[in-house]
Amino acid sequence: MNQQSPLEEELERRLSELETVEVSDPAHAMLSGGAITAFIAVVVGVVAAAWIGASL
Amino acid sequence: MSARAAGAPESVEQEVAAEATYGSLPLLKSERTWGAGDFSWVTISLAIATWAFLTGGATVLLVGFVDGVATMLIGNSLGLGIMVLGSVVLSQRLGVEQYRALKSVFGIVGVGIVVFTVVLLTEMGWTSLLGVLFGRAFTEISNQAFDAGFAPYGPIVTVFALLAIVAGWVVLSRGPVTISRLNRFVAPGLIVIVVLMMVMLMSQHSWSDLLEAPAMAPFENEQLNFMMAVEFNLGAGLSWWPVMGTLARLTRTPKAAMWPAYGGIFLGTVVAQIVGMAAALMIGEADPTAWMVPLGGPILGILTLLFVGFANVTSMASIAYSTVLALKQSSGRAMARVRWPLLCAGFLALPAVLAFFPAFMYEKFMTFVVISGAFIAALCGVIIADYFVLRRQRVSLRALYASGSEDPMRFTGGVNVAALLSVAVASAFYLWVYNPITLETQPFFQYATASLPTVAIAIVAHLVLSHLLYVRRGRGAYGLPDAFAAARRDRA
Repeated sequence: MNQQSPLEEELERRLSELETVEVSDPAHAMLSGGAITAFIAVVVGVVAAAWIGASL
Repeated sequence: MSARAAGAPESVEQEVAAEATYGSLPLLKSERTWGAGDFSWVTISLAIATWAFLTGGATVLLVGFVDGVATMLIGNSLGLGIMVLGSVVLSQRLGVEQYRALKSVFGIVGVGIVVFTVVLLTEMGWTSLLGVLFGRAFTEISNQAFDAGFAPYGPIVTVFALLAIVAGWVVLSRGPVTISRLNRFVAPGLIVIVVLMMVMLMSQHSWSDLLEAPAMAPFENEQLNFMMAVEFNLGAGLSWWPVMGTLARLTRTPKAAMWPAYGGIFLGTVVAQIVGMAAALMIGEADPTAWMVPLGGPILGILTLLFVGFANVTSMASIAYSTVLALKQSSGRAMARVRWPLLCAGFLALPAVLAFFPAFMYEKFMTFVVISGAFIAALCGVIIADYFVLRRQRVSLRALYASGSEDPMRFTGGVNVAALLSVAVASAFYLWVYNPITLETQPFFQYATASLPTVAIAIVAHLVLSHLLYVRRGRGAYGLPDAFAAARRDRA
């Protein structure tokens, strides 16, 4: 018997569950444009604040 | 932390085997147990490790305290922002270990190439550095307690560094449970040390002394000093890339992954680095093992050094654990039968060699961080282009696990040539803009850093090359249906 069979069976079980039961779960949500923009805004905001602080 | 098929493993070997095999499988909702608070605690604990003292001390070689804080905030914010978009988001959405998820970007063989070059060399460097830090700490303890008079980079440092690596191997050989148990004590202990050191420092020196203290070894050009310090901190932020995606897959929502990965590391780093910067400027030593005794006095200083030395061993084990797992998973069947302790010994042998050159490792710390940052910036640029632009966040989960002729992500013999070429081009560009060995820079480095244009070039190169080689030919599984398309967009 193939040694990898249990692993392959487990993989298939998980993929099936993910594609059916969990298919619309919020854990798998894409990031919206707004979320990405908000994140980049915080990153850039910290940079800008630090730059201005150092220039004063 | 792993996804296990059934039952609890009985031995370390089984435990690790379960992590290495079942850990590469996608996690189910019931296994994704971390909320934003849990993940924040994990990232803060990781960030507040002893390397942050060293990074703080190295920053003030170039700039004073105020500019040091500014460069730390700028560099870490940019570095962590790029790192989060280049690792955390993809692994979190799919619930898949980072290097499995990256098959969609580099191909299965391409991931192996990345792991056995950039990841291996980066983590080898950090591991040896922690070993040397341990060696320096115990040499200092011997000198203080027994008036031994050992040289700061003498053979005794190497002996202690090798002892640390052996101790790291012992911890590592006992598996992930031992590592996480030790970390439960080490992380809070380091937080106490950070607070204690700052209180002691400011009880002995005034704020005006600190604010007026000049940089320790700057170049003539102030703008260049500032930007080199930014670039160094940017590299330090990027250096979290090899481990963060795999951790993020345990979180329940995109929000619970993205913000703690950025904010937790940022907060922990900032706090520890500020102490490292302040102590280095006030005591005149960038090396934390040199300033702890003068700051804390002989008894408290030695106790602190002992704890820091111990903390280094657990940090080393944590780094080595994720790296050895990545190597094991990326090697196909080549390392499948090698026993876990032997595999760990094989990895730790590499930093053990570097431990024979303690002065080189310490003095080239900044160079090492910048070089690893050059490659990680390029890798992140390619990943961002692939995941956000080419795939529009849609990755077929099944394709990540397909193999042979059924694998739609075969690219070219398992290698996404476009991705690896883009990494090579962008990294070469970085080293042209800022050569960390000769310290030669191009004029625009003083205003733009080297990492930001590198990320931009990696993005553009990957978009163009992927379109030419794969997308227009319908290869690489671009545009395959996404199983989770029904999941609502996260508005964070």
